[in-house]
Amino acid sequence: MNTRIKELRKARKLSQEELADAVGTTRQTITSIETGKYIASLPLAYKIAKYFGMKIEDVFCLEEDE
Amino acid sequence: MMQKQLEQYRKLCKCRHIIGFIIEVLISWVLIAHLFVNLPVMMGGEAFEEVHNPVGIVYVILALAGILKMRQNPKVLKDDAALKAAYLEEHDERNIAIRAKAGQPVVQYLSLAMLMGGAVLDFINLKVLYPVSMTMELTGCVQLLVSWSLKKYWEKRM
Repeated sequence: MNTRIKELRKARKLSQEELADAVGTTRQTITSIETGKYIASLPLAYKIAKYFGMKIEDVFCLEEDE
Repeated sequence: MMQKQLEQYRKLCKCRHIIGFIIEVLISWVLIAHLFVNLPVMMGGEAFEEVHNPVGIVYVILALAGILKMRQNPKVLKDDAALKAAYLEEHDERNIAIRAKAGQPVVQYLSLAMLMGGAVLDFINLKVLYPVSMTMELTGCVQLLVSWSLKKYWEKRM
């Protein structure tokens, strides 16, 4: 699962901690999502997308097998 | 809504703090008595040096350390920032998934029960039940170690 969270976060000059606080999760979880180690659940993905004012599919992208 | 959840969590933490303190006192007394007091002498039997064996000492120290770690941090009750951090730490979905993969908290409670059970068996009859109590205590320690290792592994992996 690819995400644009890091790109969107940096565009808004947000730290991981600030984003984590805003969506009700921990900084470690945001780090894991950004690095692709952890796939966010639907509610968390929705909260993150809503925070950025975007649709889920614009923030998260499923890797397609080549 | 978050504020309401935090207030409910604060009440839960207060209960845990009180209950945890009571359990800590009871279990610590049992463990320290097991380690430093010749129980058979207290109960009218003959002295038995095995209560002071190195394995017994190690497991008692580990058990006490584990109990202290499980106790609710009192700072959480006074500081709102600490309360929120503790709430997020406990309810974060990634942390929940990691704990589930490590078998916590069931394995922790089961291990503690095995350690306490071993200590109680030694109270009952140290000479006869020593193999059983030692097996229970060692199993409890190994379970805790495996659970802790799994938790560290999944924290790195996820």
